[in-house]
Amino acid sequence: MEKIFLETIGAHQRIIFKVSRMYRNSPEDQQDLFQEIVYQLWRAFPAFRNESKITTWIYRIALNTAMAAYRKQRPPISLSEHPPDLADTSDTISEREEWLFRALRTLSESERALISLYLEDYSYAEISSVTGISENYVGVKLNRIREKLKTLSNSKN
Amino acid sequence: MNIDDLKSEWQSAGQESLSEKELAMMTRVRNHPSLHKLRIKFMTEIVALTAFLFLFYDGLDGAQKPLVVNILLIISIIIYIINNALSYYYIQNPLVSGNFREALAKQVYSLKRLAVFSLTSSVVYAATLLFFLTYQTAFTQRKYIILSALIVTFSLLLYYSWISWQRKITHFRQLEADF
Repeated sequence: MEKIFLETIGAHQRIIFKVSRMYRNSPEDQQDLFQEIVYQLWRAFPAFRNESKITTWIYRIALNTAMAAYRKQRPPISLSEHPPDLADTSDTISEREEWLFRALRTLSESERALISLYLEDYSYAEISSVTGISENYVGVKLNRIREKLKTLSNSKN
Repeated sequence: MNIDDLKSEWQSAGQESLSEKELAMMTRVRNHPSLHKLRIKFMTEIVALTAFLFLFYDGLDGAQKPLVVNILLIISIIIYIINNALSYYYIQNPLVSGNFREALAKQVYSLKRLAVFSLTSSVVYAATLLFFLTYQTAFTQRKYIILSALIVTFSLLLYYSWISWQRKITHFRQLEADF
């Protein structure tokens, strides 16, 4: 079973990287969260029954683990320190990616979970099933998050 | 900017740099960022308390105190050890299955129960220890001052522990309400 688990997680470790990077600021904290998620996935793996996609299962455990690991509130990070301008087509991919993660970290924990599923191209029905909120409310929440991100992106212009 | 444009950034982000061997190491408690340290801390506490249980009878004149006082102390230490074990189990097994709202609701419920048990076991342990140490003691003014200082210290520790539990519970309640 360990072999199958490691192959599966190895193939989908990008998801864990992204969740860790979205929920933690420093590389050390991201590494710790990555490890915690892998540990929780390993413990939950025997109960995985292929009833959902493996990526959905990984997202569910990873996001739940990121939110379940309580940490004292730290001062909110600032996005205003000259973030790369997304409207500028000369931006490199890595700059846009860096901006994206910094922007995501300004959102609340629940908003981060929702937008990550949306960015991964999950349907409203799938997001509703993972989060436990209605499809309509998923739409409402995502619209608010889109507005927030748009404001952040426009704030420099 | 259209947020949908960020989908490609999100989907291509991350690395696939860890080998199966490195991932395998992460499935072990001994390599866990916090569980390993926590396990050592709990084990040390359990060993120290168990040693105390064996030593108090001679060292702290347990033989000269009534049986019921000795039994109370033993029970309070056992409850404290059980609380440590439950806390470790909770940290090792956070509720991460099910949808987020269900998981968070269970988390809040489980935290509340743990908080009540933890605070109760601390109060029982502190009260019993003080009772044991002061039983049949001829109190002088100096001893009353020492006892008062101990009670104030225990009370402050309990208060900060209660605040800390409340902060955690409020955090998860808020998170649940956010969904």
